[in-house]
Formats: sequence, structure tokens, C-alpha cells
Amino acid sequence: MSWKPEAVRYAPWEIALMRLGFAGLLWYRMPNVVPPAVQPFPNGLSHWIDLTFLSNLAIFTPARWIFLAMLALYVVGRLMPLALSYLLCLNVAVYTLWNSQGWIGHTDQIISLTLLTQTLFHVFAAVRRFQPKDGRSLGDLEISISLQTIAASYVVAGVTKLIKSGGMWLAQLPNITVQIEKTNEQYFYDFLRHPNPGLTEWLNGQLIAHPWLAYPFFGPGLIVELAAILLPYGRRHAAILGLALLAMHALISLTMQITFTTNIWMLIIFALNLPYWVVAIWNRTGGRTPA
Amino acid sequence: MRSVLEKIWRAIPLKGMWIITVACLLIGEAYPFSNFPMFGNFSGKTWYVYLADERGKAIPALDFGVPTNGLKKAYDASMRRIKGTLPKKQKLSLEQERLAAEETLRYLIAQRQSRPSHLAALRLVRVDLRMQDGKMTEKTRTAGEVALR
Repeated sequence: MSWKPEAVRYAPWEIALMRLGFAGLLWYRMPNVVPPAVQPFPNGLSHWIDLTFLSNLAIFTPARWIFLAMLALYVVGRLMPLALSYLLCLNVAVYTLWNSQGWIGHTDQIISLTLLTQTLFHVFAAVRRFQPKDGRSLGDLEISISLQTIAASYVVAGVTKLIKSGGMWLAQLPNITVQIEKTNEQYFYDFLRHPNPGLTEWLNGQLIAHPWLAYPFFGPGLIVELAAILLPYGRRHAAILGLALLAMHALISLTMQITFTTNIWMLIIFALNLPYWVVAIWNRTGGRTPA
Repeated sequence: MRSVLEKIWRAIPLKGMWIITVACLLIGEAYPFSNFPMFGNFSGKTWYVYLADERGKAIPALDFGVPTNGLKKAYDASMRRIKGTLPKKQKLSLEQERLAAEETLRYLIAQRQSRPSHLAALRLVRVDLRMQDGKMTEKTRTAGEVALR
């Protein structure tokens, strides 16, 4: 593996598909109910700005429709600084308000951070009339910066584990069985319904009966999170690490009933980039290479 | 000196990734930044909460729009707020924990559009889990209760 990242050039249809996928995820995550009218435990911007105005239906409803219009501009690549700035402001404001209720979730940071870096990049490019010198397009760099942001969110999670555990995360792993019991009980009390019996039940029974099994099951997760620094290094790096991170999410979902939906979709859209590989394999078998 | 720093800066690949990583670790929990602290360390014990009616019968937390892990965080935030008013190292009394639980329950009720008519009271039940000598033990107690009628 080279330490120097590959200067990946994406076909225009790849960039368009990634933007479409990201736009779909942003719309799916935009709440269709008004946010809470209080912010009892301010977080982030809500320390300085009272964001509860968003709970006013007369403001929130048009704001959502403008959000949809800006998503359309984003997908077609028009007025990017304006479109992205609006998307960023509304997305961050809504989720800051939700995270100011006393319970901070970690579902949406990855998409908001990606919006933030995409916005900063396009605003910078517009203000400085920036054009990449290596022959890549602004769209290529937009995808690169998105992959870097996704990678950063995993690296941060890995480094935090090392910091919080005083470097003892792997050694503490057998105690994860208590957390597995907790998250499964929490799932039950969310719905008054037990998680999928069968494989989940059997797997958790084994982990609780033999806590050492946590080493091979969850130990690689930390390594994969830290190895995410290689995610933006090139197409193959992105696909392989994307698959490894998706496997980690699948195991967490199966054993702990915690599904990081947005992370999974971000990996599928930007890292796995399945349409490219389908076309590449198709063309290779037909003797052609993709654009 | 400046030219050396410039050379180092230029030699760093994927600067965006490192800037976001450092920013998230330094800023911590301030949306959209986060240090993603979930499952950062494991001890042999933990706890969770669930909702119950006046007789102790469990109620799906999502009926109130908040998942149980969110409920735990909200209760924890209320406890931390009370703890912030106490001298350092002083632990919360059961009475102070009850006040925090009631604050959490009142918040939940206030957020709900329609008051659940079939409930006389809403209870927050706390379950402490502990792994000891290879066996899981659990202790359950009512953390707090709020009358609805």
C-alpha cells in the first residue's frame, strides 16, 4: 500500500449517483414532525441561539420544502455554495435542537459533518475560484473530502475508545457482555418485543457464557475503526474498508440491536460505490474499461 | 522555521481527515461534532431504565417518542445537573435521584401531544446489571413516579 493517496477521478454519473444517494439520506433523516419546543440541555449552537423557533409549524414546514428544493439543486450540481449552505444550516439546527433534550444521539453527526466539509469546500472553491491542478474536477474532490469525513468519524471513535479506557479497551472486552444484555433489554423495553430469536439469542447466550469470545468477535472492530484512515486512499481501499466497517455494523446490529443506519448508508454510497464496480466488472468482461 | 512547517504541512496527505479528527476529539459533544464516546470503556456493571405504569407493568418507551437509551441519557443528564449543584465528590442521595427521575418523566409527558388516558401514573424503573464470578445479576427499583390524574 502506498502512503500517497490515489488521485481518483470519478465519472460524472458516479458523482451524480453519490449526490443522489446522499440527498436521499438527508431527506430521509429530515424529521417530518416538528422538533421539540424546548431545549432543556443546550448542546452546540443552542448555547448561543434559541433554536426552538423550529418547533413552529409555520416556519418548519416551508423550511422543509425549501430543503427539498435545495437537495434538487445539489443533485444536479447547481448553485452548490447556496444549496449546501442552506442544507447545512437546517440540518445542523434541527439536530442540535434534538440533541439539546438531555439525550445526545450519534446517528446524524456523520451526515452533518459531511455536509459541513462539502459546504466549506464548495464555498472556498467559489470564493477563491479554485480549480484543482491535478486534472481532477471539483466533484472528484467533493467525493474525496466526503470520504475523509467518513473516515475521520470512525478514527475518532477508535481513538476515543483508547483514551476513555486508558489503552485497555481490548483487555476490557469480556465485560461487553453486560452491555449486550443491557442493549437487548433496552430493545425489549422500546417495543415490549424481544429481538429476533434464533441466531441473536444463541450468539448472545454464547457470549455471556464465554466472555472470552468477545475478543475475536469485537476486537477487530477497533482495528477496523483505526484503519479507516485508509478509506480515502483509493477506490480499492474504500471498497475493502467499507466492507469491513459494514461487517462490524452487521455484528453490532445482530448482537446489540444497535443499527447505525446513517453510517451504513454513508459507507454504501461513498465507500462501496457499487455502481462503479458493477460497471467495471461488466466492462472488463466485455474488454472495456469504465470512464 | 516557517518553510519547514510549510513543508511538513504540504507533506501531510488527506488534511481534511486529520482536521476533522482533531476537531472532533478537541470539541467533543457539540453538534455536529462528537468524540463518539459510546462503548468507550467497559466495566463489569451497567444500568438501564424503562417506563412502567402505576402497577409496575412495562410500557413501550417508544409510545412516548423516546427510546430507552435516550431515556437513560436524559435521566443521567438530570442527575448530573443536580450533582453540579453539590460539593465535589458528594454522591446523589436516593431522594435527589428521585427528583431527577421525576424531571425526566415530566419532560416526557410534556412532549407527548395527547396524555395517555389509561395511565394513573408513569414510573421510571432502574435496573442495575453486574457481572460477578461469571454470572449476571440484576437489581430492579423504582427510580421515580409521576401521577397523571
